[in-house]
Amino acid sequence: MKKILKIILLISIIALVFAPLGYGKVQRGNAAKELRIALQPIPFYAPLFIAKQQGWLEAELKQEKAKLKWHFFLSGPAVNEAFAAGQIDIGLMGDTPALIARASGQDLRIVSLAASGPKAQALAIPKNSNIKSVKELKGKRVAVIKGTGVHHFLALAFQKNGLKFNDVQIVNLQIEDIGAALTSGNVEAGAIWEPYITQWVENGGIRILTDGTGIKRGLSVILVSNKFAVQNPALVNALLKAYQRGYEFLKAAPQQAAELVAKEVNLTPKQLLQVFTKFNYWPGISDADIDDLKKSEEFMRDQKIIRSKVDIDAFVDRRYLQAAGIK
Amino acid sequence: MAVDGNLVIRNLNKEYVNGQTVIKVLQDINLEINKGEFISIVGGSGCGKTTLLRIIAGLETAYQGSVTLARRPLVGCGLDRGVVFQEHRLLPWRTVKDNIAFALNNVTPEEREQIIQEHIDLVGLTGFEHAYPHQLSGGMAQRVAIARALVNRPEILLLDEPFGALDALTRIQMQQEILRIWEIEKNTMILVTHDIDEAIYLGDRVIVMSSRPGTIKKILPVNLPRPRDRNHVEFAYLRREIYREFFASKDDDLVYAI
Amino acid sequence: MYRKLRLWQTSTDLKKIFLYFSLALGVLFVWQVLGVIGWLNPVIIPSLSTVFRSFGEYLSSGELFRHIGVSIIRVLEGFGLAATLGIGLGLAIGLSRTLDRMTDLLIQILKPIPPIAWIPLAIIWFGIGEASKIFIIFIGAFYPILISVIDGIRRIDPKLIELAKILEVPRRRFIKDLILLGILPPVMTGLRVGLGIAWMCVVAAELIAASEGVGYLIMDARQLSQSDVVIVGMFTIGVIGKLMDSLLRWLNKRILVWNVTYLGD
Repeated sequence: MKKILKIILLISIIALVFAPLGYGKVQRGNAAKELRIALQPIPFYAPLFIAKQQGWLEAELKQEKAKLKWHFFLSGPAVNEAFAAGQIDIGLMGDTPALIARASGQDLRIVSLAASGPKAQALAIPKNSNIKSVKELKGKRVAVIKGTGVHHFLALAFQKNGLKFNDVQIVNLQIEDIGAALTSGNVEAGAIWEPYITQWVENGGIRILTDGTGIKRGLSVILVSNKFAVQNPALVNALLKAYQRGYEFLKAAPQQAAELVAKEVNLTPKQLLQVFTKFNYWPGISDADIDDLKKSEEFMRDQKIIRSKVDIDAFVDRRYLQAAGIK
Repeated sequence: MAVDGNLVIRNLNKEYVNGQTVIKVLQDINLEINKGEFISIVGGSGCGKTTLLRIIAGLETAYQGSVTLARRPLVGCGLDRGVVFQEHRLLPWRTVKDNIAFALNNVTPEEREQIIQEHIDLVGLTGFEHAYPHQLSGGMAQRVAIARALVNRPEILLLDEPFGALDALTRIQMQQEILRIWEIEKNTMILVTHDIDEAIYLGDRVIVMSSRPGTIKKILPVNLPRPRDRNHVEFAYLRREIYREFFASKDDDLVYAI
Repeated sequence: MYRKLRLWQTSTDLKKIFLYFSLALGVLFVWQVLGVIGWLNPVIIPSLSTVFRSFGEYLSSGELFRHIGVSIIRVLEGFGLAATLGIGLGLAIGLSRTLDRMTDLLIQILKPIPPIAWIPLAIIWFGIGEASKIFIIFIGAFYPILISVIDGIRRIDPKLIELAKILEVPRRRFIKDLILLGILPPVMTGLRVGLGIAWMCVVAAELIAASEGVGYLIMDARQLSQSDVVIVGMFTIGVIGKLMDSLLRWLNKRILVWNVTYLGD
């Protein structure tokens, strides 16, 4: 009898260990009306920062009696983890991590673009490097973070120049360390994005070998938990409207916009003015964008970055844009 | 009248200061031990007998008075004095053979082999050369300690309650053993014990010490031929004499000392 | 009668084996059951069968062995360095009171710093190649080993030290026979702990620009939201760590024949 008790106790303890991992099959819902947004503090999301600074989003949400919560992360994959843990409802990230999130089984939808910016992706080299073309990178050390948008950009840039990933030494570094590695010459090239491009060019450590022009559209998207969107279409609507407002404000008054965004992103207003020119912040999703996403998806499956196919047409949900009147 | 080779102790005094209190550990010890003698020192706890032994061994150096061996003042430890403690103090990670080898300096490998084997045979442990201490009984381990102490041919062998940790029967056996070894090695033996019978059985003279302060109360010569009969009337007489030094009469209170 | 005895013996052995594996098997069992009944959120924790499948893929493609090999080499190098310096410095400090006093403050201040915190400096000092990774592993393993040596020396039975004094044992034999052998039990423990920590540091070390290794495998899978591969990596680290520890334990028993220990009731 005592032995059976021991076994039952054992199994109960083990089951308890697994308890926090369940929550059933769906992502944890949002009880109180709260909009939890996750993103990186980078110029890709300028319109949203403008909306944040101007309080537009809060105003709209108040009408819906909802609160706003901001979460900042250092990369797309980090935002994905927050999605998986049910900690956020909306995430802004590059197309690559968005596809990864979907491929890993998360029930998310792309509801709009955040920005497209071919020039916001770049292959950087140390300032005093002798390398003049991408071809010369053969056999050299190239730093890139797997699973980011610039990873795809790098692959396309290589392809254009007849190189494969196997032809170089891919070095895996955190984004902060890539700057130091480039400056100290520990790597011969690195795939980076704004604001790091402007930052590191300005402080003299690097220069640009090539950027995404003609190679990759450099899409960033707004990703929403499907459950949340279905339950709170009004909140999603509010978000998109605010984003559109931010976009229009930026087009009309870039200087002011730069000053507002400078409060959220680690660049000066002067730098931001320059950076803005690299982006198209219109949130609408064109057919060309969908094609670009499909190409990205193919690349990632090919590179075994994702292991299952993502149906882009199902993944992208343009209804919310329509509802918000954004064409 | 110091004879060469004798151990002479003159006016030995030792104090132990603990804050305000001064404890006289040894007071006015005067002793001469002849070369080749077997001396038993017997006393209760706290009478300083162990301290006396340690001073002779050179482990205690703070004292007043003089201690000389063959007219040389003793300074610190030396290979001319071997020590056997109550614990065997063998290196647990070494075999019997290596434990004895541990004590040997400045010998050629052949000499080492020979000397070690000699002493293993001497203490009756032939065949146990490669045993580890944890495999030996208490008595056997102590024999190894004795062999180790003798391997440098010390002039004096000091034994500090060497059989105290052994059971009564083994103790008697070991007393016979040490006697046998002494008769072969013929060095000076100074044995400290609290066992009166042991003191009488082994010693040429028995030095009775009192405690607090530690002084020599009496020195009793034992004129019995060896091997001694513990039930001999002379033996019993000595036993009673010494007993009286500790327990003067039935009416006296027992004095406990730490 | 003999047959009964044999059956009884086998059943006791089986009982021992069962006891040994019971908890781990229990966890796996519950995990699989929860996965099958759909109670687990696949994004947070994949089912056991998914993990198993990934594990099989990595094994059969040989990729897992490649990663393991690379990591083991790094760990051995870091650990080897830590053992050599740890024992060497530990002996010097243990045997010299002046050195002990001089180095104590610095050691106590540096000791609590976790290996991960050393990464920025490691990159600056050693670049992004193997050296910086081995340094991180070294830093993790160094302190337990160093401390076990010093502590071991301090704990040597003072009665034995006194004995060596009486026997006028020369310095060399004193160190060889008394100190070195006397500190073996605590140092073996220190080495076991050090190796364990070295292995744990492999994940931290491989954050520095690695392209292979079990730690890299985990961080990479994390970036790609592949929780099942993360678990494969973690499990691999656990198993290899256990194997290394068992090896050291076996060595411990072989070398310390004389050390009789209490094994529990």
